[in-house]
Amino acid sequence: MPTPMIPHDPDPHEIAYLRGGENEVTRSVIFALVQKGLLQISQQGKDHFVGQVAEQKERRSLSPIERRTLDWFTQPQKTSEVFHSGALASQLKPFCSAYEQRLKSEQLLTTDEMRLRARMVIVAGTLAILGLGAYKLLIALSRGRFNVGFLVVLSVAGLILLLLVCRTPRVSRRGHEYMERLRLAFERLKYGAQPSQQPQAAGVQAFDPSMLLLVGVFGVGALAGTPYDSFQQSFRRGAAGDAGTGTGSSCGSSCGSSDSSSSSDSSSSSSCSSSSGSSCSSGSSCGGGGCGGCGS
Amino acid sequence: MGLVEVQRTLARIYTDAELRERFFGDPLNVGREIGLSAEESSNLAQMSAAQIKTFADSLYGKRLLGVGKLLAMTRRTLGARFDAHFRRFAAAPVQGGTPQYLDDAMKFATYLENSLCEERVGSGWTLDLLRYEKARLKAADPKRRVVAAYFRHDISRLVRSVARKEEPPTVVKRATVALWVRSKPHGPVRYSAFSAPSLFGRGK
Amino acid sequence: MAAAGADKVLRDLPALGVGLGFREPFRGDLFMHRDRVDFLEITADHYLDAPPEKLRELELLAEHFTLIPHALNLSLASAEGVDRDYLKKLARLVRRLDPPWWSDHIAFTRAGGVDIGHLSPTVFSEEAAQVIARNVAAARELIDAPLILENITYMLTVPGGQVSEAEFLRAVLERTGCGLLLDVTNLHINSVNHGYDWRDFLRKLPAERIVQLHFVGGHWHDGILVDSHSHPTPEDVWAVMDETLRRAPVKGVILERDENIPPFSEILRELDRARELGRKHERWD
Repeated sequence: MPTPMIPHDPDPHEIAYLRGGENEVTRSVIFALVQKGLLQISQQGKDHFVGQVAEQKERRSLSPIERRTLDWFTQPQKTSEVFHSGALASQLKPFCSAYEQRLKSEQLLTTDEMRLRARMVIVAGTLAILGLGAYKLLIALSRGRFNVGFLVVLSVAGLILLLLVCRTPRVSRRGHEYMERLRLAFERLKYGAQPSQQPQAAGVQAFDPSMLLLVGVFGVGALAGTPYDSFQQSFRRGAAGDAGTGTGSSCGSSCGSSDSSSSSDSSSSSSCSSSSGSSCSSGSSCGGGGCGGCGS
Repeated sequence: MGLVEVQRTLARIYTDAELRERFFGDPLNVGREIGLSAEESSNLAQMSAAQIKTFADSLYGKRLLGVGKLLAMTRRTLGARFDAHFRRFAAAPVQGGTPQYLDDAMKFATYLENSLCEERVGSGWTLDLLRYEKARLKAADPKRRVVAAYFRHDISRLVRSVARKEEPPTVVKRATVALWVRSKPHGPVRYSAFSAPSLFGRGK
Repeated sequence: MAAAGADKVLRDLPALGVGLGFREPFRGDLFMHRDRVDFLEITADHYLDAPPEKLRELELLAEHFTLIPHALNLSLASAEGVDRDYLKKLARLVRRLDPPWWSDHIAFTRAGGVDIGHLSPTVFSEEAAQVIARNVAAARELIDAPLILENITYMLTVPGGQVSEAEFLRAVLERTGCGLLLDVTNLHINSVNHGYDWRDFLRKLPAERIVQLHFVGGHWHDGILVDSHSHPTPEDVWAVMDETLRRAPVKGVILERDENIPPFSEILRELDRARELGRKHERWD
């Protein structure tokens, strides 16, 4: 099956679920509510708390999952407890199940059929390796040869290789390709985010769907250095857990791909990668007046 | 006058300030020098020198714009000093007309690095930023497999901070080595930075 | 190419609507607002010897949008002929994208081993028109897709001209059989800087050959209007576009914003306005 197209209206929460399951959806939904000024992050000592904002704004624009999450925060909760207790996760389970079902129907998550097929291959492969190994062992022993160490090692190696090849990770290969596509498409959103301001200001920023999509695709790490920096600090996972959290990712491996900063700088990687940069790399119809000024 | 000759002459006049000035100062003699007949020289001399200069200036403007994009963070950090240095750099005539952006940027980066070292003005982190952008340009060459660069500052944090336009930028003095590695020619590049005393995370 | 044949080819081209010159900073916003951008124009030169990252980007764009490759360096007005290496690379790109058309400029960018680094005007003469026809024929040997040619701004008039710019464009289109990529901003800029009436200019062009438009805003510098692609489209240029859409069966328009990039909502507003203009003249849905 070809990799799915990027939808016209990508769902950040569904993408977060594909990327990292229930916990990532939880982060994504809480972030949406913080952005919409309905939840806020506060700090007491070393602990971070999430709670409803005292003056609640209208909720009509909330999706069902956001509404359910908001309702759960009747009392401020420690951010660490949000995940450990499992109570919020159980509230969100029906929504996550719906995501799971849809993503499996698109074969973006490993389906039960895929797992069954993989298990059958493992069983058949194990039987073949053990069967052949046992046969060879018996032949060797019957001929009085006891140097069977290499045979045993080879059989064990074969079993390990079989298990590795037939692994069924949560996200299918198609799902990984789709995530790569999403990252490529939305990578540039990272550079639209402005430097950090006061954390309190985050709650009253106008809702920016691109920030939510950023979190959906890249995780909360992508909020580092933005007005929502405190959110990512409160909800940061261990670095190994988040795919593409954004640490180090702004230091570009290819020319200008990550360091060209804000949208006010036109693309530098486009000029860089062009072998024939002699004419306008921007402003292709520039005539005698010159692109970008007269050089004075 | 044949179109080939017209275009060849125009290309030289547009891109060579010294030739342009001499030609409009003495069209017949300079024209003869570059292989034009008297009639051809007079025809071309009818063009507005001011308009040609405006066009030539726009070529310079494009060079500055192109190079400025490839060394975007350095340009933003140095501001007018970057433009002033480029003006001096671009005053030197270039064989073959307007250079391609990448070559131009690489050469200017080397020129600027030497100039900034001589000036010894300001903090060394600007120099590190320039060296980073220069190394990144080198790494953009699809045929290059490895590019390594040494920095006196934690370059990953500095670049991230400058890219996000933080004021002031995050400057941490920590010896750092950065690597850009392609596993095969024309393959994707992986970037890693290692800072003393602790190893920093890998990036892409 | 016989005129009637050329007209039919161009008439049968699909109406693409309103699009954007693709620039990397737009990428994320573009995919968030895909339904408001009908097609993209890509700068061909950015993808000719591109690293894997750019090619992945190209693949991503091609799968989601109709792409029109816009070349910068074929130097079609070059009396020395086109660069065959560049042409081959361009041909590979066009084959890969299979676009409804592709484009380049009525200009030369190099001569005598000197790369000018910019689009330079040629002399408005019969000889120059023949040169362009020869170069277009060379391009057609390798590239099947229809070629449309763009008018450029120019600060200086090359001596030896025999006709006006409009007459020269007409002659080029007749000899090559190509369509015209009319940059309405360039038309406006030239009319201001050289003191002529753009309506008069438009009347002299073969309307049936105008396939695509470019539009954007420039700025004033030392009394000259500069094609800097750096500002919102001014009302004067909207007027030129309106009149052109009224007269010509334009298939698509492209906003070419390169510098001083504003929030994407501003870009979308300009696209919406262009779309409404096209609908008013029944050029697209």
